[in-house]
Amino acid sequence: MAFIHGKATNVLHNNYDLSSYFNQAAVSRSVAPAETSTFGASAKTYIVGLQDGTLSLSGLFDGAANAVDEEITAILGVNTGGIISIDPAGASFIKGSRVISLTGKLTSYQISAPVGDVVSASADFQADEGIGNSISLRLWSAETASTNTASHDSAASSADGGFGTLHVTANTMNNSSVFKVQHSSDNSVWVDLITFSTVATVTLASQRTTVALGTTVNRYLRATSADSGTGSITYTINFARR
Amino acid sequence: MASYKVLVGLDYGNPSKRVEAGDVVSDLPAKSIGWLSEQLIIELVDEVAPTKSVKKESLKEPLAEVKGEVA
Repeated sequence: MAFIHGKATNVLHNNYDLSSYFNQAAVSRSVAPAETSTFGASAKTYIVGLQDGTLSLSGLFDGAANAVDEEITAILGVNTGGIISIDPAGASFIKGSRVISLTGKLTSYQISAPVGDVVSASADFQADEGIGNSISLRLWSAETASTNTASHDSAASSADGGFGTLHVTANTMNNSSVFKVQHSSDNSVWVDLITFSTVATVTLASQRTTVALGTTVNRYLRATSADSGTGSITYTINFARR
Repeated sequence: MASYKVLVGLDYGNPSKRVEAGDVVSDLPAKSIGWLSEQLIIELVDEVAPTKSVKKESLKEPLAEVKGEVA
């Protein structure tokens, strides 16, 4: 085990890297217990209920185009919320790392401008459908041609679906790109699990796609890209099992 | 070799081969057939019966009959 410092934490919000505006990220996850105590019991008993989660981001205000204020206020009052992925290790979502992913509905946004200090900004999000125990399947970096990432071995399959998240943060490709999450039981034959919507020429994108409850997700996972043009596209993909 | 209809797009082989849903293939790795079938990713469409050997003797008599008719 190795402890990690928070100084390099990566924060992707929709199509943008907002890491340089925030200096604190706090994730809270919870499960609502339901009491099952009956007459004759000597202590309360419970069963677990629905999971829940919230995210708080705080840092410094910047009102420039595509900076923190513009991007956060863009989802204020918008039901779809923001697609957010956080790599607390700050390793640019290196393949195989545990990351946090969620669809966050903005519940509050504060700007503070004190006379004696820098202007700060903070935002609170309510996770929609919980917070994912995600594994990064693809380093957040640029590519110029189609690739299949090396596989990630989860050690076992799971039976309750999950969700995949794609962030495309830079794109000069002169044709469209298609990204997938594939899974395999034997690390040999790879079956499409998620096909994200096609990313158009020079378009940034963020997508979250759900794999239905009850769907088997096999032991091995990988990300694939099919780039049909020339240029460069910068992206990362993560997947959370349920 | 048996043939299978692919129900979900998949990649396999080295070099990698791509097949889409609806394609029929007969060269999937044997070790993968089990889990692919179990998870309804492929379905068997044609299982070819073992080839039967043809006995030479069975051809001799009909040939002789044909010769006779021509003469």
